[in-house]
Amino acid sequence: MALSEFQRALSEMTVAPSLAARVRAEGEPPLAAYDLTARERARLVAVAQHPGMDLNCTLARGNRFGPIVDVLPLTCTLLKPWLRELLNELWQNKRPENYQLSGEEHAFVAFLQGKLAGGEFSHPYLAEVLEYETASWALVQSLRHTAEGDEPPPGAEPFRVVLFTHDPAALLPPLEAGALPPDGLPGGRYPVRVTLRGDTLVVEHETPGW
Amino acid sequence: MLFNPALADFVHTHSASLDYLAVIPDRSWVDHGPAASPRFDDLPESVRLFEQTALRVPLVMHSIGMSICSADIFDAAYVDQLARWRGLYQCAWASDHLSFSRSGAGHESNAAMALPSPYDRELLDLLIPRVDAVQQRLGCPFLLENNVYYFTYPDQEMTEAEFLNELTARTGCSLLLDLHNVHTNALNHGFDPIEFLGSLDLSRVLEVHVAGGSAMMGFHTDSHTGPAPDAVWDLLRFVAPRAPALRGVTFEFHESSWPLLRTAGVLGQLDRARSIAAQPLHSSIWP
Repeated sequence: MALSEFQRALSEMTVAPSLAARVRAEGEPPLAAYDLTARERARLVAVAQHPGMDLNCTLARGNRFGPIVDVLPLTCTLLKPWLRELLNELWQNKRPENYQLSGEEHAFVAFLQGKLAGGEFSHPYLAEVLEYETASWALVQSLRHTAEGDEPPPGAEPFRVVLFTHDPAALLPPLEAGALPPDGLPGGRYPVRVTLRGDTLVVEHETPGW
Repeated sequence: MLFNPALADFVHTHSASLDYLAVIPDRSWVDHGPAASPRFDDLPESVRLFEQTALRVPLVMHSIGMSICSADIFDAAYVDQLARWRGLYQCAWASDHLSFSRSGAGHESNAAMALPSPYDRELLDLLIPRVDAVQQRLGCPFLLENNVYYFTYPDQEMTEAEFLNELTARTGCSLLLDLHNVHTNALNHGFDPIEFLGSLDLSRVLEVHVAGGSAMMGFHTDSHTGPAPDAVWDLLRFVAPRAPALRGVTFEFHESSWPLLRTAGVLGQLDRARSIAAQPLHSSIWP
């Protein structure tokens, strides 16, 4: 079905700006993998040459980024100088899995964890900020999937413990304000308990001054 | 007004200011995909919110996942899910977009946004039985929303207005006329929005959307930022007296714009919509 192939090609051009760029530069040859009529090929070439296609690609990237920044706002702030490059690398071969764009955040977390574990990317604060945000998200998700009447009683709320290796009192506030934290924070052990009370995340630990 | 998460408190404290609330049902469930069983998991938190809201304000559905223009997908299970939801909340009508976001028989290709298909006979022939099936399954008026588009296809067989007119005439479905989409397309592609609206069969318009936008990469975008601009209200002034079936004007904004609008700003937009559309509007959202 030609219209199906046309839509598949346009989808791919939208989520893979490199294909759109190749069609813009080379014309029809990059579309050879799709079973298209001459009119459909001409339309896709025209679309690729239209400046609105660049905007579409940007909007699609923004839509994919939405769930990531919703779940990992502090991580994204921390990674601001490298974020575009990291997302390019992730999305080069990773396509959206569904129309709700669920899973984009998990893919980004796994991608970063892989980068850290493999030593391909290093940042002194990334592992702990990422762990803190994924733990917080897991708690929020548990609330979203909790039926009415199943809420835990006070004192028995779900919690996660996150081990910071830099003082979270110095690390998190700048990130929460959208700024990078200071370089060279001294290392240490800072266990933090993140608890979901009602619909509020409470962060507590035993470090004096927190 | 179209519900967004920033409005959770607003709809509780200002429900008397709302004639109805449009909601995106897709935000109240997780869709695990066509191969999963069960495919849909409700999110209790969202369901609770909609249940509580529905006690005070009539709900209408504005879904985003039908992808009705997908050539190789007619997602009957998704329509069944909408029908279930419509039954739960007795929605007065349901709407979705005249676009596609998924392709491939297994839904394996996702565009991460709603894309328009060319206005050709092939698309019309594809849509007519689908729209009939959706209307029959939902059991309430079904509306399709006109697209916002940032590029145009050469050699389309029909104009957008011709396509919408024929689709609505042949299926009996209604039109959700998004006036900010019209405004955005007119700005970006250089046409007269009033001339466009004059060529539409406005008797098919059951709901109107108004919204704001923003500039990006040399385009005006349908970002739902802040209040609707004066130009959109001017379009509503043109449409409202010419749309005898119009039952609602919906203001939509992205939750990130809540700090720009706040309660007073949202109420101001609702008042403005009423002041323009109240006279020709039916007194109830119900037929």
